[in-house]
Amino acid sequence: MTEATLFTITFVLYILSAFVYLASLFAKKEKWAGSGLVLAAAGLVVHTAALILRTVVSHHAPFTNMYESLSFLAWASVLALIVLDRKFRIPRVAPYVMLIVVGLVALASSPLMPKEVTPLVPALQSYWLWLHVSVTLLGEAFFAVAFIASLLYLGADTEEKKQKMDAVSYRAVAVGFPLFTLGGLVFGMVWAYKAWGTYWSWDPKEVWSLITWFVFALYLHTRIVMGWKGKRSALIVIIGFLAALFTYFGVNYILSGLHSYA
Amino acid sequence: MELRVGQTADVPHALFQVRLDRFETEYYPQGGVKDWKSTVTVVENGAPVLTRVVEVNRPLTYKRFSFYQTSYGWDWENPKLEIVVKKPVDPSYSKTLSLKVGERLAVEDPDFTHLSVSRFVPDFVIGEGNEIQTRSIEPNNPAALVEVWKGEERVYSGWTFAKFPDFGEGHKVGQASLSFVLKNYEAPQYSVLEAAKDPGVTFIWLGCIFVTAGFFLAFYWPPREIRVVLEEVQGKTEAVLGGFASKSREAFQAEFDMLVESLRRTT
Repeated sequence: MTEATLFTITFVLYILSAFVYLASLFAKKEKWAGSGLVLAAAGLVVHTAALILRTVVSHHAPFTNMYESLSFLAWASVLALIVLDRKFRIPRVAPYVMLIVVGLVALASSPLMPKEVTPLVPALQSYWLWLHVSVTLLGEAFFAVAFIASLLYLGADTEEKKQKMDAVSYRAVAVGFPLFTLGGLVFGMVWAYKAWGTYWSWDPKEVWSLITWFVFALYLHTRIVMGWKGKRSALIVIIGFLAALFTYFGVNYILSGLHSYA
Repeated sequence: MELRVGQTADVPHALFQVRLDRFETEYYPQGGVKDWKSTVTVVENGAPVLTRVVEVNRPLTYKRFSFYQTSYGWDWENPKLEIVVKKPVDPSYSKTLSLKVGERLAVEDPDFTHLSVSRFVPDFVIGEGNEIQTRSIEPNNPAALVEVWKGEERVYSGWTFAKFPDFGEGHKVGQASLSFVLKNYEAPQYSVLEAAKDPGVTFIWLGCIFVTAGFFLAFYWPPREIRVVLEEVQGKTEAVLGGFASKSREAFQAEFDMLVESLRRTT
């Protein structure tokens, strides 16, 4: 089986999962959410196989161009969803996360993203590529869940729903923030020091990662120290995720710098 | 630091030198650079002390100085060129001339006396104002401006391209017709190494370790405290429970309530 076939199967499973989750939400059949989770997990397994196959074929980590990194971000988002859903039960957030995942996979498979395996430029030939990119994207996947929960908070009609969304958002940030710090900033600094001789070069991607980090740090500080909750917190998460999104897409397509590989 | 093969250079602010022994660029079969490898020797007090290959992502560290492979290039100012001269009227005639830019090479020939190359560009392009420029430092379209002399009189001047030999064919030089081929062009390659010394970097790593460890401890293993006070009130034991959590207080509240509930049920 080729990577493309596995990727297509993954896509179908994610669409089915999103569909079942949404049906469970709107038809108010809470039991269906379990099937949505099973389908997402099945998709994750096939997706993992696709990523492994690509690694075997390309001889390098499966996140070196936009197609690969979008695919990996989708994978990380499903993983984040499964972890959070198993731990905290998030049937209201999960359908929308799966929609985002379907969007990411659709974007990855669009003709805009070249899919050929290209050999690695010297700067990327390092095991730090694995550590830096995977942990960062995993952190951002948790931010994505927090972002959706925050949007749902703003759209929620009852106090009970609002409280639940606020809690989900906080938990996702609490898991994602240490990962983002470790993968994005610390591993990035260590690798930069090894490859470029300096741990910080004020490259656009570095600056925007730092902005993202500051926004989420602000969220955690205002929440834990000053007791902010609800709407204000939700807005900070939304701003933070938009900054993360700009770090991911904007810097690749608009600002060029040391991180311009895609 | 720009180093040519064989060159020894002082490291700024250091009491040693580095010498580049070897430099090579590896390419993928599909094209594209795979790796740059500089074999570097550290020379201290005139004696070599350490030899290692420096690659991107594999710096050399010696006495708190680190050397990084940052760039590379060719010294196109001083290429060694080989020009082949042919005569279309005489297929057996062929002269290979090795020369440098600016050098006037005497040639024994009935049609001309000297040949020179007045300019060389590695990546020929005609820029604005019809000026000849080089597009890059890569030898994508190497070209030499060949000049032919008869005594002090210049009888021919024209560009010859290594990748487009047709341009060099059948030029009228005085009474004769000559063809020129740019057969070989070699320039010394140099490697650009960055030397860095950052005495404070240890503290940066310490800071990173503390920050990251702190975050993981704080958010993955948040401190929660539950205290139980047991008191004897009129022969019965009374338990008073209190709890404290700095993060995720609602979740802790629910957990605490469950704990109290289950205690109530068991007693």
